[in-house]
Amino acid sequence: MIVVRPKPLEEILEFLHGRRNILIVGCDGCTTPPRGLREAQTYANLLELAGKLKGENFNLKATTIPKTCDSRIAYSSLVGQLEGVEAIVSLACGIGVQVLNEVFPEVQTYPGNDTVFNGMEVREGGIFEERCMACGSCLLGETGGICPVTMCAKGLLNGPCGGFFDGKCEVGGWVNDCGWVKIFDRLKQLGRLDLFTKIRLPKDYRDMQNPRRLSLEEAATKKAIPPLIDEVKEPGKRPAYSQLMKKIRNGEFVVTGEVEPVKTTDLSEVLKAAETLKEYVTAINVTDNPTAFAYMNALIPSYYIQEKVGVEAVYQMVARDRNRLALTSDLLAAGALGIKNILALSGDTTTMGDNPQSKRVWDLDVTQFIYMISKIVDEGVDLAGNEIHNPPKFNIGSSANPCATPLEPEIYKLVRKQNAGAEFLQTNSLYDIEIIKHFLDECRAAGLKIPILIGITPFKSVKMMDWLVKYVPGVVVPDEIQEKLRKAREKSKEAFVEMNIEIFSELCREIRKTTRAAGIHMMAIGFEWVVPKILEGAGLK
Amino acid sequence: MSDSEPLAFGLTIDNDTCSTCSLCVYACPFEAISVRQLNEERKVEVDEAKCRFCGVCYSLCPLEAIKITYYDMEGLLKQAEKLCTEAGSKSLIVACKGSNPTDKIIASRVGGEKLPVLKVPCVGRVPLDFYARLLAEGAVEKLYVLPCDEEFCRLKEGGRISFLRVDYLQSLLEELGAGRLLTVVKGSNKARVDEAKCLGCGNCVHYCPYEAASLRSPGIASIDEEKCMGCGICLAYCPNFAITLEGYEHESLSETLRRLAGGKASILVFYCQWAYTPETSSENGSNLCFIELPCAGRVDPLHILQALNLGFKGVLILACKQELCNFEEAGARKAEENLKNLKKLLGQLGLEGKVEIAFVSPKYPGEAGQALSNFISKIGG
Repeated sequence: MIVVRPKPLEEILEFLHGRRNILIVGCDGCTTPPRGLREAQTYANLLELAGKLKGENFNLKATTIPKTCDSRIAYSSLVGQLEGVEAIVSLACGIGVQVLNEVFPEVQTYPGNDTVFNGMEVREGGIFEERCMACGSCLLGETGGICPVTMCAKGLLNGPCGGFFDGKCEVGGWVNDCGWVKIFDRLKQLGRLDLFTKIRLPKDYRDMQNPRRLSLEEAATKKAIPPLIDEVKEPGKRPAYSQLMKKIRNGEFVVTGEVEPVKTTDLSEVLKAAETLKEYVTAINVTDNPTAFAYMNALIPSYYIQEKVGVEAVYQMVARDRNRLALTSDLLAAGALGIKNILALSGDTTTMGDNPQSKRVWDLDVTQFIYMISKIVDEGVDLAGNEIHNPPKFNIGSSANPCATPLEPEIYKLVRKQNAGAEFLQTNSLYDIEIIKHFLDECRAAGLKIPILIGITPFKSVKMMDWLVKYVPGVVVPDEIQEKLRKAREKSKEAFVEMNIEIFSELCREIRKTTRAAGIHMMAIGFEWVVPKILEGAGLK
Repeated sequence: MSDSEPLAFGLTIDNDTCSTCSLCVYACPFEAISVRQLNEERKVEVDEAKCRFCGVCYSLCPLEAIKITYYDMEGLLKQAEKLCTEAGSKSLIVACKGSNPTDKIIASRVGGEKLPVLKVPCVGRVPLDFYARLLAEGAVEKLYVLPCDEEFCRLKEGGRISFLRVDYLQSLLEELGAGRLLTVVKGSNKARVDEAKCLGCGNCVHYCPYEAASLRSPGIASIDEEKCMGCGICLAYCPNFAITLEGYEHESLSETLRRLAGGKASILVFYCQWAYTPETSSENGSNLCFIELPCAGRVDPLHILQALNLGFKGVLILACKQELCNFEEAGARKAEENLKNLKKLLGQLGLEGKVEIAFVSPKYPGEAGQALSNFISKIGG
């Protein structure tokens, strides 16, 4: 059903200002909540009240049309009722409003509603949920009957992203079910996980070229859904182009760091942070508009830390803000600037950021993005197959979330990333050695062969620790660690830092000694100076 | 009403008269009455919260130890006699208001005769003495008792009890050679779908608290007569006025509104028949107009808007307290939800204060009156 939201009266009153004979027209068709004769009468009454208050001289009548989107029915229903009518307010969806304007051009028809989506009615409480976007390529046959385009907050075709916990999506505050966890469960129930692990190629947006038009001749002849492919990139086949990849392949336990360009044109902070890390890490990640904050393009500082500081960059790229055209273009630029590592990510959704009004792009999801980089690097062609002169040489990384629950869909997805050509993974921040071990074991059991770097974030303050534990689902900080840090902070600031160093040195040592992790990814934004101490403590220098 | 004194409970047990026979304890359909052993003494007590004020205890008590403000025997007798005198009739109809909203329905139940009618919330709660005294005193020679069908009784057991009682009295009278003086005609009043008008939207399916409405292909709703309890909630949600409930149809209520608007009253009160009993209340100020509904859930926001356009200064809904709602607690809740949404619409015009809902119960005599006077002073007469 077409879900509509009544417009504020003020907006309708503006449309009608100065008119006298007004016809309110309901629609008995598919709008929900139903906008038939009752609603038409309700609006006629409301506008009558409003008219009296605002000094308008309204003469309102109410009627309804069985199906406004059918121009013939709309015409025959209203043609006898329009004598003297100066304005029509239609309670139909946006289609109906256009039909009335078309069949009765002499009278202007105004919308009484905002048409919001095609949805399903969850009646108790009057809630409506979007279920179909009319995307033109119905995937439901291959996703167990659950639509990823509407049910996934990012509309990913190869989900889930890392933002789910307990089967709930982080977008909107852990209320909605993660569409992709639901798809995973459903496909598992149907015995069709083979459909989950394959890579879904990106959608062909030529189908969405508006104005869309359909002729009945075209029906049942057009194959529109993007295919699933069996292609699998063998891990380790791509040459090691970067120092980072070379070291990992040599069996070295590597350390990567991270810097975050912010809302400024001043690079000095980022360069200073890179300088601090330089002697202790193999490469430094440069974040790309993290949590959807509009910051400086990550490519520029990536280039500068390689050129000026002399440490290899891992250029992070989120698929959120750019379509395949812009992503290709930036990859070529990165190649020209000597970037060797790309970390491909989905990106947090825009509503979490500082420009929450932004349009979300996700022309490609992260798996498709990795697939595209692989094509560019390995075959020298872009996604559409156009040849690239002097293609760039990258090693491709991506992210993993060991805290996701259930873990199974996360791991299957990581295997899919590997199949698309990802060569290494960096996890989000972890604090519990048991979780790390369990995750690595599960990955191995699922056939994930690519090296994994464990994310480590020391605590800047007790407040930060409490916030993480309380508000970021999935973050587990063992009680013992919390206790030690809290006690140390009670003593002094210095003791707190010392305790941090002690705890995280120990954790790094443990990871190196007792797990098959390929290394450590240190994320200590604004706290970089502690990293050398932790690494020295861990014997990693 | 939160700022006023707690209201007195309208049901009392005179412990001096009570013999603790416990008939009421077993008869109470809501398990609200119990006997408590206090030292050597036994005492019958009513749990005020559980009591739904149905009155069955009162009508059964052999010692008249239970007093209820709802069915005052002397008052009922006086009313009955007055009705008969006014109509010049020696026949009287005593009808449940739940199943007998219109004169037409009532007449059809007694073979088309137009007779004086005494309407009560539940005839099952009228004590046998009432009929006996009316007949004995000669004011009435023939009585028709119109309870609800047993399955339709919203106060539990009312239909069955009244039938058994009247039947018992009739058999006594027959033994005395008096012939048939009492006739029982059971009935109900249920919603029906006008198939020609139904749009097949399914609103009724979702809003019916009894799962009585269903939608079948090709998109026509139907209402299961067995399940429908006549609350009329579906009527307030039907987008095309395709559901009817005799006495409470959309158009007939609109008609009543237009008629009432011609008078001098400035405030309109929609009341649930279970929340408020004008028969036993005294607040009939000249500025008030009343419209009785089977349930506050039947209050139609469209009727409220019509009333405001017709010149009423304010509209008050008297609904049951949710836990006392005789319609699965749905009626009071729907009424509140609907009003909240309507207030949002009216709020855009600054008119949200013109409509209000108050949750009242005849359990607390005076509660409705207080709500009415609060509203009157808010609206300004």
